[in-house]
Amino acid sequence: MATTLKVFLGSLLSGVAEARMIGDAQTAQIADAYQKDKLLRYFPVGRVEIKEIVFEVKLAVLDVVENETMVESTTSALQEYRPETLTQLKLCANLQNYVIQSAENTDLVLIPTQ
Amino acid sequence: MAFTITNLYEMIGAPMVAMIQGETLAAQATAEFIETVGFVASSNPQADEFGKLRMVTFSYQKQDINGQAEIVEMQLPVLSLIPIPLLHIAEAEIEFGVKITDVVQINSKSQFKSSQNNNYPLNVGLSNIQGAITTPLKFETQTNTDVQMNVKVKVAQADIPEGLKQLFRIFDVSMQASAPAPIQSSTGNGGGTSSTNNGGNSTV
Repeated sequence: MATTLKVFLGSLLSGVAEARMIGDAQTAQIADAYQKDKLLRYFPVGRVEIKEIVFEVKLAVLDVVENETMVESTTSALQEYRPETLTQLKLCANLQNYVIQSAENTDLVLIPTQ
Repeated sequence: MAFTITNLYEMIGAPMVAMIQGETLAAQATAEFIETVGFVASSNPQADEFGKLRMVTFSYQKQDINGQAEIVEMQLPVLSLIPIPLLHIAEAEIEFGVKITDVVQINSKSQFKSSQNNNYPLNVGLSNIQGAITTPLKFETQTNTDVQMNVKVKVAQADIPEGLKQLFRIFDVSMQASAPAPIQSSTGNGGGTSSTNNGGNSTV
């Protein structure tokens, strides 16, 4: 199924964000369980985060219409194309951490930690 | 062989969850080690206390200030004599290939709009990639399109977020400390023997 490049790239990045959410939710659940244990409450709760993620993708660029790049991205559809005609896309994402700081009578402010 | 179709976020999130759960198992094993090795089993295991600290007693001979031989006995916690296995994952790299089966657009409740020009709304709906995990292949040498996407994720231990730090501070304040029983050091008969016994109480 053809889609726009922006939707495809957005899918990759939102996949990373949602994956992180799953990891954080698991950490929160474990932190709650640790707190109820007489000994584990003194242990650090495991929390991992994605430092870097690299996607290497093969796409077929179909058309560029009104600033929209149409691509074919599913494996089954790409079988119909000769491999040498496909475009190779490499997306490297470094995840930036944000700390939410709150203060009285002020809005929440996002401050990058790096 | 039929591949299971999953969402991209699950493909990335599942190894992260596995690592967190792995660390949890390691922490539980360490906690059990400390409780089993370091403490004498409590008569009431359901109670929120460790019971008595397991001590090892040494006695040895030394000369006092008058040059006379005397036997000195010393007690040490067993936990201070052995390494405690405390492990955590510092860094991990996950690499897998994906056969993309679909790019699904999801109706989003929120729509981002440009504050500068409302005539050009950033009407970006959420979207999601679905596919099947497979072995990653080197694109340079690959001449077919069986594997279409390689994903390489570098995961590391994260700092504790500020909110959790504040929560831990609250826990610290709520902790109650009581004076531990003094470690006994006395003279006695015999020399060069060692044994384990029960020492000071430790409660949390």
